[in-house]
Amino acid sequence: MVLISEKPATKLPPSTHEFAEVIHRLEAGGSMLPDTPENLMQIIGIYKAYAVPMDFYWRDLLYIAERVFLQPFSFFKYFLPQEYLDLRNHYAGDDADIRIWRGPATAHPELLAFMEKGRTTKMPILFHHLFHDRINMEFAEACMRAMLWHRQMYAPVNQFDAYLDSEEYKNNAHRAIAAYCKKNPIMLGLYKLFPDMFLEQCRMMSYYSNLGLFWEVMAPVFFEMSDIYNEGGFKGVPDAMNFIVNGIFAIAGRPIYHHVYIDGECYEVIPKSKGFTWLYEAALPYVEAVFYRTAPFRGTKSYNAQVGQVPNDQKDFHYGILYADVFPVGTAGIPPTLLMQDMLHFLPQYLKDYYQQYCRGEDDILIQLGITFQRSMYNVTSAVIQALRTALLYPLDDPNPRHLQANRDFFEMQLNRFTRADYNMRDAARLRQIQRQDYR
Amino acid sequence: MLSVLIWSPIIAAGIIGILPKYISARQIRLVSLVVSGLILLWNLFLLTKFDIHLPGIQLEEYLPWNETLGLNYQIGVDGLSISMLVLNTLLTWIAIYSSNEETRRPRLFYSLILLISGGVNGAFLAQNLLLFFLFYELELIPFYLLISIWGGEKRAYAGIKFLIYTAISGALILATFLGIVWLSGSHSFALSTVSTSNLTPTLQLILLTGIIVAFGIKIPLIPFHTWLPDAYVEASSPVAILLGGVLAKLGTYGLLRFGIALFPQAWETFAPTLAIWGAISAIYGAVVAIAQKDIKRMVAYSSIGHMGYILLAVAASTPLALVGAVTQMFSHGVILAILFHLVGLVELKVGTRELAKLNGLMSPIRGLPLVSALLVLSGMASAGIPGLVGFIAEFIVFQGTFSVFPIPTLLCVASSGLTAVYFVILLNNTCFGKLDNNLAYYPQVVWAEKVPALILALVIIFFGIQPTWLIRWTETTTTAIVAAIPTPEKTVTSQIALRP
Amino acid sequence: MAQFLIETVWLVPCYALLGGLLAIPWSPGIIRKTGPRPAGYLNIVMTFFAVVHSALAFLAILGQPAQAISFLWLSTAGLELTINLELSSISIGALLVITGLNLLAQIFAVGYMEMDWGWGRFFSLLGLFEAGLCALVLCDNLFFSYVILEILTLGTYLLVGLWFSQPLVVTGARDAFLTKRVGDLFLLMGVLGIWTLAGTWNYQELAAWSTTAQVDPTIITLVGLALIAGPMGKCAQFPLHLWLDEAMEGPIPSTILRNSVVVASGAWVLIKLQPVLSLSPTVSTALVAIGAITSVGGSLIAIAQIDIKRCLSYSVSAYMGLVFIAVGTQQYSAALLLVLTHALSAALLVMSTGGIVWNSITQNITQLGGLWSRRPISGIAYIVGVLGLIGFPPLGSFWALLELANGLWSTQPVLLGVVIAVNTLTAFSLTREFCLIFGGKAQQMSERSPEVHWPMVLPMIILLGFVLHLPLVLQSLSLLPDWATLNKDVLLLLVWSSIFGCSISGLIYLTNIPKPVRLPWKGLQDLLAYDFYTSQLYRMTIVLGVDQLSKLADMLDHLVVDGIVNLVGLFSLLGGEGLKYSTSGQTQFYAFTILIGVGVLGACVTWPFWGVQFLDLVF
Repeated sequence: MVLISEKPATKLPPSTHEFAEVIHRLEAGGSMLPDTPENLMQIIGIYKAYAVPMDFYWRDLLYIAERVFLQPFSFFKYFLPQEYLDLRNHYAGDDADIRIWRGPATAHPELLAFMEKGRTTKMPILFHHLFHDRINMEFAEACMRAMLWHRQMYAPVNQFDAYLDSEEYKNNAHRAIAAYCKKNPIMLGLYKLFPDMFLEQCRMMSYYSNLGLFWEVMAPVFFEMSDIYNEGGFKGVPDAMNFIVNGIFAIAGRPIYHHVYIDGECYEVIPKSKGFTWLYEAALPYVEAVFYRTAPFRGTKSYNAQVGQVPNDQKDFHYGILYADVFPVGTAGIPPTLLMQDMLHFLPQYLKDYYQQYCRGEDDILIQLGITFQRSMYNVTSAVIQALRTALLYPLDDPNPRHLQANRDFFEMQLNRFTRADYNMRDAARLRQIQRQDYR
Repeated sequence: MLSVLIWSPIIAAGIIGILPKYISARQIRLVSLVVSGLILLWNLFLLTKFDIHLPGIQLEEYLPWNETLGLNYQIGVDGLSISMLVLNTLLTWIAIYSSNEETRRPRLFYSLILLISGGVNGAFLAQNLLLFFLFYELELIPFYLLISIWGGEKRAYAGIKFLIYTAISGALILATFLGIVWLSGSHSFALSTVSTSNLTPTLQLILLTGIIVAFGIKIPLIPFHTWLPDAYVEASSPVAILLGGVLAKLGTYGLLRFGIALFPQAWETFAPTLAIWGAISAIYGAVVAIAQKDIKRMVAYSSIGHMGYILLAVAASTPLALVGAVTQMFSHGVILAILFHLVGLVELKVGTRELAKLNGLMSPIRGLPLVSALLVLSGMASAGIPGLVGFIAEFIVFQGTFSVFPIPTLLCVASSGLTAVYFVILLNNTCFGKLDNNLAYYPQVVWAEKVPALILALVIIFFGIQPTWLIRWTETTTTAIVAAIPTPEKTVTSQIALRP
Repeated sequence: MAQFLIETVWLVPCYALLGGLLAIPWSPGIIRKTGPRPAGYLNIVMTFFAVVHSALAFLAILGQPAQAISFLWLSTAGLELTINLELSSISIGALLVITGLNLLAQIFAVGYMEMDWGWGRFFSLLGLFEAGLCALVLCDNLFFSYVILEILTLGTYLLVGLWFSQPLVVTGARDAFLTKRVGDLFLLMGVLGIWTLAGTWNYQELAAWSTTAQVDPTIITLVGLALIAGPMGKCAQFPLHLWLDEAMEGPIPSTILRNSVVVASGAWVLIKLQPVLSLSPTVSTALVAIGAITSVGGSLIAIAQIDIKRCLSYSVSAYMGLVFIAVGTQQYSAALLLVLTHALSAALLVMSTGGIVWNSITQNITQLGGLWSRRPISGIAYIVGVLGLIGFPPLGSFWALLELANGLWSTQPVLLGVVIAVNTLTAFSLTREFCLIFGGKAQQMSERSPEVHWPMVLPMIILLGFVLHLPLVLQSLSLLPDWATLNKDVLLLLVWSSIFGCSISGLIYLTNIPKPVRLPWKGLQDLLAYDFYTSQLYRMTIVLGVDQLSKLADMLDHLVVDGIVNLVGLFSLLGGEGLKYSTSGQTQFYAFTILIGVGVLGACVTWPFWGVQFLDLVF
């Protein structure tokens, strides 16, 4: 348990950073998101709305990684079998490793209800799928692709990325692939011809597993936060953030692995014994790849090579939710729309009422909740920053001013990501806007 | 039967004018909406009574009034006026529909609009020169008031400008009419009896010049157009709809009715000049429109350009060209109406008309998606994209005139290219692009605001795909008019045009 | 039954259009609760019907004489507009190609656009396009061809503008629209002109007329030049080629169609108009000249591009240039064959590269590399696409180019040189692209690049199969040039040019010659890389001109207003007064103004009692 006292014992001169206010808030153990009841209500509500589809995402991601695997014509990869709906979340239910959420370990009831009726009516799952009355699993896959494609994130702390190129991994993968292909002569032939094609697919599958295991943890965390809030648990935004920080440390060591089940036999492509951990191999790369980087929206950036709007270097990518312009959501070429639509189905009533009062109420709810989501993700990022600070640096109430200076430097370094001028990231970053309440 | 079209709106105007104070603007709007709707229905019913195979005047009504003066209440309808009547009644209804529900001084506003509607109907129906003039003058004052009371910033200036210009036009018309009648020594102003054949060519030319200038101000033709941008831009959108959609048509209608029909001989000498004039107007309007920074001004200038086509067609006066002229009058009216309505909506919601400030309205959730979509549609209709009514009208004009005045026609084709240019500028800056995160909290477009635009859009598409229904009304009449103009080149044209 | 299928083939465009209309409800704001994907599925189903119908009709009409259907659209004052449809094995075959490619492109879109929410708009526009193209190939009437081309121009504007929040998309859409529109308007002038000459717009009658026509050479030349302007715009020929480059901002599934069948629409009209055009030698020369410049210039520019999509788009311009040459030298069959083979191969190339762009993010070929072992399917598709496009026996374009070159051998050796050069250069540029994408070492952007999922791979494989089997199909339809009449030297020349181009570029880009390759003269390289600075050229000439002219005219307008200066003074004076009154709402003012009006009227009505004397006074 990490204690973050409200006031540092010794004082530093005020920061000169352009986000000095935010820096001071962080140093006071706060979040990048201003501490207002309105913000608290918004972010908790959206966490809950996010956690329900997330509960589907992680189950389906694991299903694809473990069962669908290399299926070339995977029409039915989004059709979750009962087995995976009942899959027990390791952080909820009575038999949890660590019980984070008091609720059941199987699929969330609201999710089940949605999968049954959707927004239309009760009909076979195939029709729901064809009518696009379903969870947009494509979004989860896009996040996975971002984690796969972006490289050297937090290396060498994060060894997952490098491990996929190791001989050991290749051998494990090839055993699994061979086993998968052996019943299908065409696949086998292709495999003989182009082993690397299958290997690359297998790498992708490992990331499916990685992301699935990551979200398996986040869903109960968010559910629990929602429950605590409903009981009037949280006093302010920092409490909410600290809950996440504590959650992070509580499960930092959770193993990240990739098992494949081919006709009943389990192939350990990435065995638990590798000791990959949740924090370093999943959480940090996830935050980096999805919150910060991802890929430019085709609806707002030109991919024309001669114009050079797309950075030449992966680490300069800055198209995650922290930088996203939410206003075009709902139109063509704006990927986050898929997630916004998913969350739309599970908004708690108080949030619906809240949106009803502003802008166009029901009609632009998609954008309003998108901006709320942006706020909430700034809060999660704050949690990660605080967690890193706790892990690598000094407590906030450290008496030694040099240590405090080190903390400040760390915070400033983090916030500098929102002030870089190149590819005009500074304008893209939404940190400035979320300080205002009327940005909705 | 036809009188209903004239008097019911005027009577309704009177009644609405004296309605008691406690009746709310909303209710008054509703009343006038119903009235104009009924008139529209009546008009549509009259279409069934209209026989498209008769060239002459139909459904005539005659009422002796001032025999000594030769001023009689004498109305009737033919292929020229029938579609104009429909246009007028339709646009009156649309204009009332598109008016703001909380208009200031609602009684005056709606009674004036209905008054205009009646007056314009009368002008289109009148078969007597003086009667036409009376009705023509009738909508002058109401329009002046509509502009200078409910208008924008510089409304008073625009109003006065409009008033004086139109008054001059009116005076000229009166002078020429009187001239025609007295000089030709006929005893009545009845259109049927008046004929200029016994006048000397010089006199004919002088009188025809008067007619052309008089109606040229109304159309307007450059250089008489300077009242137009101010009037159109300062007027609120319902008024702008009537101004651009209906009033301007009185000008071209006048040219057809009192220009060609009354001066068959003199017309020929004028035709080439008019053709060039029309082409120049078209180019000029389009070019000036490109330079505009205010979308409403842009639309206003587009109107000048499109009226140029009509003048060209009237000048060529081949059977096809005249059909084209009437079709273009209708389509231009409808398109201009929807454009003004949409531009008005944009201004209402976004709070500006400046191209530089507008952006990304197509954005489906925070923008005005439907308005943008319809703006694209109507802009393209105005630019003459096939499948929409604007194209077929322009094409018939071009096809009809090319054999007579090839160069002016090609100039007009070029100007329709320029039309595309400024509409693309308009659309790119208004509908496309990215919404500004700090400004884009626009109110929604409510259903009642969408309806008029949707109806007009349907009309545009329907007649674009099925133009026959629009064209069939005029053909016989225009052919008859042309037949009255015996000239060598006409026969050539008809040979070409009538080739199977 | 067969006859029925043929007579109802006009339904094919209707299926597509219906699909487009059915997609509209999913455009945002109408159906909100659920996602827009059904729009795509519906379109695919409708297109599938279209494919089946046209396929059956094609089998039915094979070997039969062409039939004609016509219905009257509009008849007024001597103008009769009848929609003529020509149902021949060629037109229905073209129908089959268009619908088939559309089906594949739409399936591809399901995969490529999976993260996109604009399906409603996108697919309704695809439907519109498909309908337009189908109607165009069936249409046997110049006027309606023009109408369809105009509608497609609008379609391009909207389809390129799909991602309208993106600045370059907006300018791209604008330029595409305006460039094509310029072409269309010249076409319209030609349409008007040809009527006064021939008195008909029906292609058959035009052809018949042109055999006997006695017309003023200058006039027919002008008309002919106007007529080819439209196709120039559609086929992205110099100087109207700029739009294709900028249209590459649009989504790849639409690019598949644009690079293959949409550009071909212009060529189709050109081929239909051929008899008329051949009336004037000047026009034919112009065609050939434009074609030659475009094809050579385009293929040179393509080599200097670093953007995947643009490399391909300039090759498209180049091949359309060859079609122009073919038409200019009266070789329709070669032209048609080239259009067909090019369409399939170009589509395959776009699909293959599209999949790579999709999950390797960058479109910059200098940042890719080393994908062969991991993405062999795309790689093979690309290779087959290349071989299908260049003169490589026995694949499609080889025969087309061969026939073309064969025709030019004796008559115009220079043009033969052009064809060979274009073939070599295209082989070079496409191989270069292949080496940069698939060869060499993987770079940051291509280090993690798995093969894409099935909705994109499946159509790629199917099309790959078609491209491979195209020669067999052509043979069974006996569309291949007769071996006996062929000149073997031309054949060898063609084959060697292809091999030469491929091997040279392979040599340069697979060996460790420092990349990016720099030409000795930087200027020349930039000249090519930036497309002969055409856009700047336009900006400095036409755009500037129109802009200045409009500003001038606007100024003039103000001056005219001020010209009536005293009047204006009067207006503003009264205006000032009026403003005060009307705002303070004093009704006397209205009474006063109305009084004036009434006064005027009274004067008129009482005219006779003083008017006569007045007139006597005057005259």
